[in-house]
Amino acid sequence: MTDIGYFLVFCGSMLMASACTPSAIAQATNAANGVAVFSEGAHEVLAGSYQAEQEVCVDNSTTKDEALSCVAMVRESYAGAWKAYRALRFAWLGLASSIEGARLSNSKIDPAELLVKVGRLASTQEVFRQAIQPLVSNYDEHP
Amino acid sequence: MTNTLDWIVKFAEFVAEKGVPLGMQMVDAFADEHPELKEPPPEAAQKDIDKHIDQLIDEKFSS
Repeated sequence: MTDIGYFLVFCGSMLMASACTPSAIAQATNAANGVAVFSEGAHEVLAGSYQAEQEVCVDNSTTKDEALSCVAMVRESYAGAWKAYRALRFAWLGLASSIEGARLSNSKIDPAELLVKVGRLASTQEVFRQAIQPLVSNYDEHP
Repeated sequence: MTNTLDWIVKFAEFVAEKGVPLGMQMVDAFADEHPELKEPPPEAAQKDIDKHIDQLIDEKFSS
């Protein structure tokens, strides 16, 4: 089992054990907020790198066709990362809607549902992290 | 929902006020007092950047 596998099992066990306590919503909120913090930083770097590479295309091109072709290649190379980000955000929305629903109805979160949604969020975060790593590894936010 | 910076500032204030060591109990206690969710940035950035770049191309090669 990989490190992320052990982590998911650990998170799942903790959530199962705590799901019947009032702090289950707080723990789910922590999980959602942890991903939000990661997403905010990673999204900023991704967007910065995405824009910078396309601006280089525009600056270095001598014809419109050349610029369009270069920009299209950059957009294609980043398409997977943006798709992974949308999946991550969608998974976050799924967990957040459960948290808000439980909070508004003053009810407890179903532990099985919570386990599935936290697991989905963790796996989409890993997919997104892997998708952006090769794209932004040389990006300097403050050149 | 609040942004990340707000959350970090509130958490720092919370730690300073409580004066206890950091740990999972501290994070749980903070979450109980501040249950708001922080939201990941919207997906609009990609389209906004594409639009900006398209405008740059039009401006550079319009003449």
